[in-house]
Amino acid sequence: MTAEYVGLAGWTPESLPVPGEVRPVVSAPDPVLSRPGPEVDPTSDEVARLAADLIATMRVSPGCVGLAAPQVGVSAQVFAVDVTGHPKAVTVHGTFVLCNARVVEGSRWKSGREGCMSVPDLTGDVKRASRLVVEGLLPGSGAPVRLVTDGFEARALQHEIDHCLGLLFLDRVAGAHAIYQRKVYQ
Amino acid sequence: MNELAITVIGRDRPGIVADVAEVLARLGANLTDSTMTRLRGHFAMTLICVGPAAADVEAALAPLAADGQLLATVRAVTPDGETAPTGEPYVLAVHGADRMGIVAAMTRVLADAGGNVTDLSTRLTGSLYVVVAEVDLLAGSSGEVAGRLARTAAELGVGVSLRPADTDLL
Repeated sequence: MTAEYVGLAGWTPESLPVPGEVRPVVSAPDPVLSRPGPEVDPTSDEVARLAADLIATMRVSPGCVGLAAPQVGVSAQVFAVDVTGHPKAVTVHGTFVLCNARVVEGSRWKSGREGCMSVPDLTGDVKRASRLVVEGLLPGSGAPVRLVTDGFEARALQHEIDHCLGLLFLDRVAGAHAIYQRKVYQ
Repeated sequence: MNELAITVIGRDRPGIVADVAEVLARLGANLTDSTMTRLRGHFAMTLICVGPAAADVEAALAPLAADGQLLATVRAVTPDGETAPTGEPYVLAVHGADRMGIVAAMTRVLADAGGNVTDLSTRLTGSLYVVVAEVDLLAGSSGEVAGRLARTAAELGVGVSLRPADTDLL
């Protein structure tokens, strides 16, 4: 890419041209979650609306720190992240949406327990880079963004980018005993 | 020295492990490798121990099963010795809508390629079925195995991934 990547440059959800609406969240085994999403045109009205809807849906979901388009039934490379206030977060970029995002650098791999709104009854141990550089495009303007982050925000970004590629945390669990049931069957 | 394979399974309650371990300790049975977990509300123990005769352990465990809530089996096994790992370790993950034969079909692909499953767990939650297996694959076979797994998974309508197991040796 020839575009020069910069930070979020003051982007806020309010810069989107439309207010978001809460969409229903789909759960595995819905096939949309296992399908790699196509790249999108970040400047299209459709993507701006999707971005606003992802933020709105994320905000009404307790404990939700990220939501990707496939989770609302749309196969596309768009996701929202907001780890603000999370006790495990170190670097925090606030609320943002990225389109067509890629991990360009990852290091200091660490294991951590992940859950997912689309896999509500299970958690799993997944190794992720705790130092991360991600590039993507902002919805609306289409401006290229390069984010350098770490820790919990880095984990959230990798989890959401995986969603856009049709991967769940289940695809990356460390071993046969690295999946845990949240619900107790009696 | 007798080597025994023991299984205990039944309705979960506090104290199953303590009760079984106490019986074994009283008989001088040395608990070696074991796995104990809860499977859909049933508590399941599989363990290998060394020491007393199978009949003695069976008799000593019988009172625990008397109320019909637990089933215990004891069987003498031939000590196997350590087996050297024969291949490259991989982790296989399969997830999708529950249906008959997912484990059968996927593990058949592994077996036909000479892959040896060393650990496997499955979970059914709602309509989501998840299989995670650790498997030793013959050196150099992972690419072909991954292709065959993908084709079988597509036929079953499930997702599959095969990744090298991450072994951090410190």
